[in-house]
Amino acid sequence: MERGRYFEFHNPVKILAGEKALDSLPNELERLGCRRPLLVADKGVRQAGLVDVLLRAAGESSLAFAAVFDDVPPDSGTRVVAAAARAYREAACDGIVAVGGGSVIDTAKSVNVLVTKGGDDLVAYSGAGAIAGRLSPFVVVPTTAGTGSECTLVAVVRDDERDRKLLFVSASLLPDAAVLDPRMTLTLPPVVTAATGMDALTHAVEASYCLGKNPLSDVYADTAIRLVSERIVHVTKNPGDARGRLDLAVASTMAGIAFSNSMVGLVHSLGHATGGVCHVPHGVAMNVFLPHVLEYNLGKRGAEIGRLLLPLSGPEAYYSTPEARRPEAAIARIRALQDELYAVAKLPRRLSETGKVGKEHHGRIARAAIDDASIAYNPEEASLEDCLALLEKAT
Amino acid sequence: MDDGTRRPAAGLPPPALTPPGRPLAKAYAALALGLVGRAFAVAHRVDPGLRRELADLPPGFSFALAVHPKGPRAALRMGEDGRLRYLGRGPESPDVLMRFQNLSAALAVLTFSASAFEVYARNGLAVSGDLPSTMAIIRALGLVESLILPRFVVARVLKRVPSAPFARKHAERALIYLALPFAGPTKE
Repeated sequence: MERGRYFEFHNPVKILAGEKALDSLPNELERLGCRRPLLVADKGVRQAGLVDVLLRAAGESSLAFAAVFDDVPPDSGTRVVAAAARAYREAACDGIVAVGGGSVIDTAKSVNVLVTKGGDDLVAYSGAGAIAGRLSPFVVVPTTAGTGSECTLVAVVRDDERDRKLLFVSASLLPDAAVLDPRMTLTLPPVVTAATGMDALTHAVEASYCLGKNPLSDVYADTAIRLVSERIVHVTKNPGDARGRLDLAVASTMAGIAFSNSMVGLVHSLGHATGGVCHVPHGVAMNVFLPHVLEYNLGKRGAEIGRLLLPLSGPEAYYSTPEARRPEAAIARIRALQDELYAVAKLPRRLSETGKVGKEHHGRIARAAIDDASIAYNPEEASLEDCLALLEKAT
Repeated sequence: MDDGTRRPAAGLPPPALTPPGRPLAKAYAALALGLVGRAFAVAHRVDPGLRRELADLPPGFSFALAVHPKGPRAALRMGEDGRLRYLGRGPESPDVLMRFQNLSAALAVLTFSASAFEVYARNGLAVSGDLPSTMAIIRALGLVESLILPRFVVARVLKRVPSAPFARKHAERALIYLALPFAGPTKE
């Protein structure tokens, strides 16, 4: 542990996980006293038939959604949140079920703030610790295995008035329950499976060595790293593997619990900035920057990075590698995963392979990266010049 | 919300047991916060690196460091003339409020045994307001510390000691200490 020996760990989210986990959703809503839930989703979720899967799983139960809001775009903003909050109020809803990926879940978290606290001014609740108290009943059904948003105390939405990202950090945002059912991720295309899996891996890796790491989040992170490392290539090659899908969903949730309690570092600062400036998908950016940032942090966190070899490669590889070589072996394992995922799904390993980032963007990305909140947790001080050098290396 | 006072609610008996308080630690925190606030304002005039770091804060922007719940606080505001001014306690709701969650967290930073980043990472510092501005302010706080403290203390507190030519750094340090007694607080 770091100097000071103090940490906080909080995860009140009930996890319902399994190949028929959705069947338990109606009971869970009843337990929460929610009789008129608002369903929040996006068009992709509806078109993929995932809402139908959910309704079929609910079977003969008394589940009935009082309203449906399925207009959440990939980069959701304050106007969308306000519209969904209106739908909630007009239908006199008493809880929220979010079915979707990161954008849907973050939108639903923000809607929950407005409908519980009142008003339409989401900006007033931005920042760390500005939302207190219990919010309305809230259940999340993730349809990707990567963001871990179902177990994080963070939400990010765009401020449509000022064209910037709003970050909300509060334990009140945490859902009451998360339902992990592989039927929700079976239809994900290989490249999305690969990118979201590498997002989960990055959450767990950064949770393991950045400044906020603690013994409890380490346990969640270790298992998440092991599950992703064992499953990601196989599931990307075999999308119908329900068992593997469930393992990745569990890994994503565990990584979410880990980083929600220890936060993330420079990979995320660079990833958020690259996403903001060049619209590179988050998981792709995580995949590109992860090994470069690990190398950058070796001076301050070599021992912790070396320890990652155990969950990444298993006990045999770990114990047969001399201690001094474990950090480079851990990074090499991540690069090997990248190469396999590129071969299977063409997941970009370099910024140049994304086709979206040119050298002319580096200055803006680096500037945005050093203003990103997650940079506070990075072990090494990352200056503007350091970020520019990392962007160069990752190109 | 807990406002830190110990008055019993109307009609209720007074509390049976309350913590003894830490008047000396609180007095030190108040003194150190005042010093940091003044040093911030003076260093902003003296050091171009600090001005660059805070260049994106708009005129009128205010920020404060405070100790939860009703402890001391130091606020600063960027003036229309581009000068940073120390305000004492300052406005009730500054644009960015960085609040130490308890006196121990504040003392870790104010005795220069931990960086603000480190205390933030350990849940010791709650922030309300714009986070990119907050990151710039915390980096600026590190620069101020590097300007007013000896290198061996700075090396313990910051992730990396900012590099600056020896003569310039010491000239800036001398200017800051000379100007410190005259640095406010400014009345609004």
